[in-house]
Amino acid sequence: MTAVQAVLLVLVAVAGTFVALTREPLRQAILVGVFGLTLALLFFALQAPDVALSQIVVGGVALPAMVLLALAEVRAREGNAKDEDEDEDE
Amino acid sequence: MSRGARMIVFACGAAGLAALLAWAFSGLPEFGHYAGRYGRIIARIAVPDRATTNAVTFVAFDVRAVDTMVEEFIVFAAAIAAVALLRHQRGEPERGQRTDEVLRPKTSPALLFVGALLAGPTAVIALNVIAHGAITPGGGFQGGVVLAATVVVMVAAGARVRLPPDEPPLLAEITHGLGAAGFVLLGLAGLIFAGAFLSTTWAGHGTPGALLSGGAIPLLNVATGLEVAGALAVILGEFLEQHMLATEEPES
Repeated sequence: MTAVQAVLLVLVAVAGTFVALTREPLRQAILVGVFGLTLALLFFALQAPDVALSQIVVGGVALPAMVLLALAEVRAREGNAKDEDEDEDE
Repeated sequence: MSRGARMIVFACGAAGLAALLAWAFSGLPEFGHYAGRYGRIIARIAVPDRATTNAVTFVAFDVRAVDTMVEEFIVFAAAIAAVALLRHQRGEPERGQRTDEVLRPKTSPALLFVGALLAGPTAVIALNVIAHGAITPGGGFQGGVVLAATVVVMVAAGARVRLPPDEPPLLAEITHGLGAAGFVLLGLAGLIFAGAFLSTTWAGHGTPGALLSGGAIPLLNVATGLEVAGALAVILGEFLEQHMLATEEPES
């Protein structure tokens, strides 16, 4: 194992721990993207550029985007529910 | 369940998992020592047999092409499910009234500028990754996601999200349908011209490293790229539209 690989392994572990310990969903969505990018770097260092590319696009683009959109959706809906009708479906 | 009881359950589970992991790790081969057989075979035949210098696409679109096809249809089904669910939820009274309205996201000038700057290069990178799938790392899936990201960047830059709400995101849906159908049709072409479903040899061999090499693998990459890009654009588009409709409502 080279030094680069070792450093990246530790980095992935640290980033993953931060994602798990973050309580606020919005912050977590951003952090999970960062975590995905460190994971992609690790794959690259392990000579798997193809997997690294997939990881970049899925972990860095698709997943955070979908989480953010879902969050926005949930928040907008919660806001609406509070504005209009308190006891609809909670 | 009280906090103490939950901690006890967690501790038992964690201890069991740790023991199993320690047991499993003790039996692993050395770091970096590959013990399998298939990897070596693939590495030996990818270039002479199929002219694909990227062995990963050789595996994905030739050796296990049927798996890849099924995976594509997972994405296809996911997109359709998202559309069905979100549109069902949205089928609320205000539906018929918005027919001609076009929603735009509210974006800051800075975001608009960066989005406009990035959209073109992102699209070029996406097409590049798709086109070179058989030669260098990348391929239809990765390029397809980047292409879908281009759509998101364009929306961030203030592009219109189509809408009357009853109509589908037409281009994206056609794209993802075409991609899925194209993959199957290319498979059938293999059945007709080379005698096996999804065989890639019928389209010729090509010089290893040339843009058009690897038989039908570049074509399959294009089909996958269209399918993935279209499906993700459909899903993200639905979410975006939903979100914009939801944020508009309180003001009206």
